[in-house]
Amino acid sequence: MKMIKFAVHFALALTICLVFFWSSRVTWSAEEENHCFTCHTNAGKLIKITREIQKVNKDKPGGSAETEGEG
Amino acid sequence: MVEPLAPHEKIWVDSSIAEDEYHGDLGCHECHGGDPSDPNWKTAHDGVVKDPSYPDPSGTCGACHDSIAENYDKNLHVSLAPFKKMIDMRASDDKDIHAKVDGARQRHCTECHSSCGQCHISRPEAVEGGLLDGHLFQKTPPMHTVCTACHGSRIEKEFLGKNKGIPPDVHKKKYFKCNKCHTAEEMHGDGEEYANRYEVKNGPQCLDCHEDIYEPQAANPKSHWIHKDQVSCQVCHSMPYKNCYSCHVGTDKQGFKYYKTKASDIQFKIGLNPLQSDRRPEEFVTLRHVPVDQDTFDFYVKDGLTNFDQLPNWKLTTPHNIQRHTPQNKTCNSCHGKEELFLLEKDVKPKDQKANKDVVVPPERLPRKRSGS
Repeated sequence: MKMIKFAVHFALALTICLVFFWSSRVTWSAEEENHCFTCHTNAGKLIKITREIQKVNKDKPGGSAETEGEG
Repeated sequence: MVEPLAPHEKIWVDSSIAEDEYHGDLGCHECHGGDPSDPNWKTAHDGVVKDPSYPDPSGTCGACHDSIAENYDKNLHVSLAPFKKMIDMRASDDKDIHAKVDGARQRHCTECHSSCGQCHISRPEAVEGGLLDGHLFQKTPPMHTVCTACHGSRIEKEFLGKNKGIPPDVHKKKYFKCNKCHTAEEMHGDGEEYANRYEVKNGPQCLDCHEDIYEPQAANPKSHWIHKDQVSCQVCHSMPYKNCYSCHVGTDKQGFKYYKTKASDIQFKIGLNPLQSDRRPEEFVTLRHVPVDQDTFDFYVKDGLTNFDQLPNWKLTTPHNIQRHTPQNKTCNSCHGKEELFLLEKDVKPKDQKANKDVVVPPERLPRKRSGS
């Protein structure tokens, strides 16, 4: 009987631990949003940001105009 | 030439990467650095590494693909070692001048390397980069956006038949992509330090597939036997190909580096094999003019390549425009006695004569016209 009681208590404790651990993980994920992923998978956001960057760089040449011929 | 991607397309990531069985669990920052918890994109990118597989892939791709990564440093697509070797051989013996030439080489001739990422994840940086298929890992790099994006002016144009009047390679017509001949094992290197790509042991050879050309039941065994180890396959089966001349590099007023080559032309020239070996025993091979010139680095240092004559600038080549029937293999005398097909002294500029003395075909070695053919 003692053994059964112990097993029931142990299983209960384990379940509580698991539930607590799982919910804390979910909370962590929600709090710690991966901004790399959310931004780089959003084409609209990327278009907006790359246009901003282009505006800033619009007068900067990307490379030499003297390059000519085949490589 | 491959069309460049729009700026946002270059960095767009397909969300289905999260479902990638092998790479989906990795956080972006684990390879690229940066701060994924920072909502401000400007500061979040502090310390971001665009290509974490270059120059050292051991902490990223190599952590799992260790057997491939261990050969990385000696992989010719990464090291570009033959470039250095060839330029060093041509450079002046004067230490200061040699160092200036080496500086110019590092500035201008080390950009066209590849890396794990620049074949399997993005287009190579040398062609403006941009993610392939939204960062989904490509087991086989796509031909148009990776291989021929770099190997464009010669290989792509030959293989796809983009040189005016010259048909595509017969293998292209059979829907071959680069990797049909150039295997992953060849691309990843085998750990040996090769002096040039023609030495690579697991590089492709025509005989890998066409092993029966000497058999009696083959289409033309007699011709193949007669020419065995005398001429390379390309001498009979390639079409005219591109030759480039006079490469000059420098830095413009704004500090940008520039590259200039003079006119290129389409020619076909047979010459003496400068790299005769067990693997390539043929006496006659196709030769291509490469753009290096005595004064390529003159912007940085005068007389930098005083040992220019150490190496020919008509080099062994294996054009990628193979045809079964070519103008030079129609009959024996389509080649024998046809001086214009061979690299003769008169075809080489006076200042390049010494450099090319070992590849120019002397009159006594020209195959004579055959009677009755």
